[in-house]
Amino acid sequence: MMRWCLLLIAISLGGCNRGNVPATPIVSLTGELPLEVPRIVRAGEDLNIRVGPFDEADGVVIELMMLGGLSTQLYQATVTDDYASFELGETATRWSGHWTLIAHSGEAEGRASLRIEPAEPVSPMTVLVGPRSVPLDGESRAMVVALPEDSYGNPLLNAQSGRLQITYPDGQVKEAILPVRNGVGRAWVPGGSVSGRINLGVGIAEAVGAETVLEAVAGLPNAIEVLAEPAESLADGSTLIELRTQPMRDAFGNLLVDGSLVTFRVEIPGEEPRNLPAYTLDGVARVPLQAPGRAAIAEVRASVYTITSEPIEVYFINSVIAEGFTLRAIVLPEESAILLVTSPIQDQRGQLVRDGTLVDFTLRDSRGRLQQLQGVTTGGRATVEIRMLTLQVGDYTASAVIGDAAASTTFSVR
Amino acid sequence: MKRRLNPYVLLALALALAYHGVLVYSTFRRTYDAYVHIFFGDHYARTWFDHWDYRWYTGFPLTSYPPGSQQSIGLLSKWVGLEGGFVLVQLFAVLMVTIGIYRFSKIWVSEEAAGYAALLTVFSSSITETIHVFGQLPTTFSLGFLLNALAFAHRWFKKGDPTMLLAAWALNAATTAGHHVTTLFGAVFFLGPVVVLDLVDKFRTPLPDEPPQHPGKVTRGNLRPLLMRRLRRIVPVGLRTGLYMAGLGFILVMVVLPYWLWSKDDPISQVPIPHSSRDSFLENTAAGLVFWLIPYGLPLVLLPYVVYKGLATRAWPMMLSFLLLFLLGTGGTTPIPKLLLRGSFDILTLDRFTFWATILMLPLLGEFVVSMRHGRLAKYIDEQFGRPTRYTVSFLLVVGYLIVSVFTANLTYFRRFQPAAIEVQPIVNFIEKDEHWRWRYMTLGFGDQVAWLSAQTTATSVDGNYHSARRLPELTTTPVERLEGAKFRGIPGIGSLQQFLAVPEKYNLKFIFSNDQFYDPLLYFSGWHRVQRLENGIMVWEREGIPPLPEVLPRKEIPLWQRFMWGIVPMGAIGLALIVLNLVFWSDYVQRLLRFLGIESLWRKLRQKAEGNFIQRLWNWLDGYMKRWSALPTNDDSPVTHWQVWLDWAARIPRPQPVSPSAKTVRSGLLAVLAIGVGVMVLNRYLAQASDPIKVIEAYYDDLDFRRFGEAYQRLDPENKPDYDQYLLELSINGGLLASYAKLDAVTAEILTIEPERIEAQVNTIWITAVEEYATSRLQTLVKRNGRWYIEPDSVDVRRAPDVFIRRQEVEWLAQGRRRISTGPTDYADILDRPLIQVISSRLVQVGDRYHVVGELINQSADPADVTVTGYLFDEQGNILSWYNAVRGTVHKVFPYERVPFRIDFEGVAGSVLSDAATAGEFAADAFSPLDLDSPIASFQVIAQGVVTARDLFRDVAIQDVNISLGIDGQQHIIGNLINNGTVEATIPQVLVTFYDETGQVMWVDDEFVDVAIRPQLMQPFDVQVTPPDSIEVLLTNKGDRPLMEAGERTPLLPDIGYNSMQLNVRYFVGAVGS
Repeated sequence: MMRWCLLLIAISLGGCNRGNVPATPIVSLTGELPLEVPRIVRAGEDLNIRVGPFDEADGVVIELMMLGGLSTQLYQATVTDDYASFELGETATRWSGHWTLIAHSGEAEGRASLRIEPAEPVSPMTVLVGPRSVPLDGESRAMVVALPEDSYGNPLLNAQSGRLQITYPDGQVKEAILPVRNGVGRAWVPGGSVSGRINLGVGIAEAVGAETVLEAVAGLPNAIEVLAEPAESLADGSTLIELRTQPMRDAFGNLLVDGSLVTFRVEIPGEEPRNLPAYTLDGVARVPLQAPGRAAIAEVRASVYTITSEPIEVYFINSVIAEGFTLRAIVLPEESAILLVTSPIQDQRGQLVRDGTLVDFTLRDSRGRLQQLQGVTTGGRATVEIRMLTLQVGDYTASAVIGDAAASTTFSVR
Repeated sequence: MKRRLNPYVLLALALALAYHGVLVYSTFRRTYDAYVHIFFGDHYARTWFDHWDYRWYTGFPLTSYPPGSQQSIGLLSKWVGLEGGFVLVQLFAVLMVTIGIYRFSKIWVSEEAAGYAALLTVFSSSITETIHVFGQLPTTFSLGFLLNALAFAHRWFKKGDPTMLLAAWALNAATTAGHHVTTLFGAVFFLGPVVVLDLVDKFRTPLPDEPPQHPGKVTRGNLRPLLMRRLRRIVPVGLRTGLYMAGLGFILVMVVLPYWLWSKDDPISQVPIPHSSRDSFLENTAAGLVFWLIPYGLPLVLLPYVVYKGLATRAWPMMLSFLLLFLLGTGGTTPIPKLLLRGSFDILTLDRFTFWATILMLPLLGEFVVSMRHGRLAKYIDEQFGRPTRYTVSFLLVVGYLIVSVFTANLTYFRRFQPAAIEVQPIVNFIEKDEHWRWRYMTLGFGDQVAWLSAQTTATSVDGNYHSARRLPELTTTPVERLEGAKFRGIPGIGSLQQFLAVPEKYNLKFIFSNDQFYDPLLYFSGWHRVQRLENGIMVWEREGIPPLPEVLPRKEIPLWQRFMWGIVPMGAIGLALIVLNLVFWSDYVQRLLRFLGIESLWRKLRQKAEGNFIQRLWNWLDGYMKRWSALPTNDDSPVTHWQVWLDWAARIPRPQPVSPSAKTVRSGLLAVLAIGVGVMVLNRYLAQASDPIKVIEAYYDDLDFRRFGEAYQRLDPENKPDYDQYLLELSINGGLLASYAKLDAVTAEILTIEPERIEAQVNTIWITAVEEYATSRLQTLVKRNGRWYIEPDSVDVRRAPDVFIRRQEVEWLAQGRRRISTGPTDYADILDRPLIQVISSRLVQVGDRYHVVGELINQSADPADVTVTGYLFDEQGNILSWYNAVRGTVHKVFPYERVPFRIDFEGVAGSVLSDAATAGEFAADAFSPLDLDSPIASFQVIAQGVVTARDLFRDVAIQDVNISLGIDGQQHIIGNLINNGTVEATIPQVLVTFYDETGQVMWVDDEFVDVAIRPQLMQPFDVQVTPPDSIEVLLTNKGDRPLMEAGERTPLLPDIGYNSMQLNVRYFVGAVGS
């Protein structure tokens, strides 16, 4: 038990150490503390503040608190010769704005206001422009914004107006005033009439920003002209011809910006219109057009936004020679099937039609019942297989059609 | 006398260390849960006393899970790293379980059998599966403590030694620290049988001072003394049980008190997450394998012996507990578990019951080994089949037991439950780069490795891997465990994911790390784009215009004392338990310390004092009272009646007599023939499948789905199939939504025509993609060769592109981002422009019960724009009722001067409707959650914002051969061909059809994906079903809109269509970019 008691006493003694207790002031001040503070100082300037006078208060510690929007600072001074003097340097006055000074000692407190104004603007100034590209349509414009700051980063809320120099791509230079309000200098920049880079220079007092670039791009095209190369092609359902526009320029003669979307509209009799998207490169939009499977005259237009071209005509002519192939029925008894095979099919130029060209087959029995089949050409020939199981005893007529050409044959099932 | 250590236990511990020690280091990365516990361990390693982690689910409390095992990992990670910490704690748990099984078995069976039980534990398939497949550390960690605690509790019940009580409590506290559920259910299924056993033992054992005489027959006169006699025997055990249970309850509450307070104060009502352990194992055979067959393993064939032995010996309380667990572990195979568990059925994971059942089997399996070695079984087999047969069977059982264990341990090799290991460092580097941690991220296709990634960074994710802590309603109202594996959870899963992808700004979600291209279409058509492929193969997706996270994130505070308690008590309990377990080494020193502090003498005095206190006197009085009442009447001469008739019946059963050596040979031969016969039957069944054409078709599609191209090729007609290289080539060029981004969900085949050697069948397939569910139907021909059916290969696409060599001029853009290499914030001048986007027209319409805003916008700036279109719905007071972004109904990357349609499909919170939850597991990617509005819609607004972009700007697919026709479904269809005029494959094209009324206002926007990729200069057909105009109700039109009537791209439509005109747009996903 004695050991326990000793242990408890030791712990208690250790826990009762109160540490350092601050000394109490010699004299307690009461009432309002008088503050001598300049109303306005510039950022970075020295600031001298006196609190007093006091009677017989030498040695009393006065605490001074500076409350600002961005920070709170605390200083301490001792009353000497009836005054407590605070000589504050650049660190205390680097943030511009309204500050509240509170001095207190014991129960006594005094308050004063101080305005720290920003110093002269310094380079480099932040200059922004947006949007960074402006279409030359006579309406669109960009805005240049400058944020003047002093060397401590304080914004110049009511700085003097600055100057804006605009150098257009054609070398033309324009000067304008850049008014500054609420710490922001801003001005509109019209696009001008020539596409290219517009260089912007901004200056406020002695401060300047880095040169800023704005891109002037062409507005909507004045007119669109469409071409087809070649203007005539085989209607083989495969060949590609190129549709393109002439270089598109806006009202000022500038080429349409690269990547602008152009839609070609192709109207072919017998099918719904085709919309072919393309985009411009050097003012020209190109897109391939695949020939239809049957002869037709196509009408082609191109449009950008609301601007549409005049139509042009593209001619697609028959691709296969009429009556230019034969059809044969081959019986495969082991496979229990009949093959319908065409002879090699040639196009107008005497060449075999492309592999994969569709051929429509029709099988008609003696009662006139039809069976539709479709084959594709390989090496110029098209083949379809008919299962014997699907056929009844009787005579059959088989035909194959491609474009305007056709062939037929007959066979009997016994 | 010094106690002799059981050699089998020492051998078991050595084997456990060697076997699991070697395996666990390579298997834990592929388990389900290991990384989750490592993540928790990482949290404790970083901030031990902080109860909150911001990294998952926008923040969650750690007090929602007992911390014992995870804090142990965190503690050890200081020296051996997180992974090393996990391995060490898991090994410790295995050793504890092995010792625990030995101690627990000794309660029920002989010392020798208990030793064998410990040996069997090492290679138990259930233990192996829990460690090497599931990675459930808390389960093994807490089970080890529980089993050891039971041995001490048993001694307390039996002898009343208070040190045993304290030891049991200390071990129970450690059990609770590891996993409170183990304590809770352990009290029922493990402790319960021990209590019953001790009560029964005491009930049947006369007290030393009990009157010796016993009547032969119970009569009215001797009933009371007999009852009182037995009551007197069990009252001490009952009181000890009561005291122990009270302490156990106190421990259960106090050790994890912050957990209970959390579950009381912050209950998160969640939709239960489906778990395969609740399925019928006859229907879901894969679940049956993992959750039933593997845990029981080979001992399943010994089940009759185990049940018989259990019920016929003093182990019957344990056997009753086992049978109950066995029933509960069958999940949905029988209705009994649901009847017994009622509402809890949908919350509990029932495989835990099976696991506990396998643990309860082990003592009796130890008994089986004894019997096979030199017991009655050995004698019986020797007599009836001969000793060689016994040796053979024993050998086969041992080998089989080991094979099942090794197979189970390596199950994750044979059948992957997790994606291949992902090197997370490149992802961590990406997150740290350019302050990417200022946004949230999400992973897709990482499996449980998401937890490992999270453990490497402090960046936050909206997703997580610990479903109990989900807080966002989009998650808590759905049975989605993880968004990153949303495709495995049907519509609630994919629906939740779609919402996160559609309105990512709501969650500050900017980056997605994708390891599964299944989600690529969904990401792309939701407006996301690929940034880069990291060196580990992970694709980084990004969404533009997402605000960064606020500096201060919300968290739910708990009192400081709870945080300290959480950090100290559970680990303190584990530490105390370890001291108790090793008391044999410490006891001398502890006794000296107690002696030094005077506690020993104090304790002695207290005991002496207690012997004479009121309670003691009261007990003496009660005991004396019961003792007096136990005395039998002196005139009791009732005759002895033998009433256990079944013993007589059992004695009459003829015992088999030893047979001759030749008979033994014949019997052994028959046994071998039986085994071979079963094998032949199984083989025949397998071969029969190859001659069924329907099975051949199903197998072929299954092979294709799982990329088993070699097997698929073998099923093609050998006389007509191309060579293997050509076959692979033809497969490889068939890209697109179905071939590359889909999963086969179902395949059915119907035979249309039958010829002797040829069959034509219609094959219907259902494919799952992230954006749509596809049903396809096609004809497939099968031919018979040498008695087997083969599939006729598909005809080859012989079309040729018109040109051999293509020249294309292209405009390329580059968004530089930072033009100066710096780690500081991005310079003002480097921030990209916001292009001028004009909404040309917009309308609020209703189709069925769903609200949409449709309209058109145009990019009026000279730069391409990544556009986000947001629709807001307001009530009369101008309050926002709902807002949503356009997802698949618009083109997000817009060229200069391009006009595109938009359709905003408003949705409620995914899964918030009960019917959604009911469809968990059924996939319908295009299903939606209806909007739940508090008040009527008074107005709407559309805001389109864009950022200059240089990504995914493809416009080389054109539309041709368009026709409008009536489909076989009675609906109007727009059909045509898409031709690819570009130089890269259009992997997943999407056609958008904008319908206008006579005023040029957009009435509706339809969209359709094309399921096949389009190679350059080739075509693919498309078919868009037209939404009937009479199903569209126009609610509001924005007055200020200026439709552009003069635009020339529109196609006039016939009056019977119901719309005035239409315009077609195509956008497409290019799969190869950035890879």
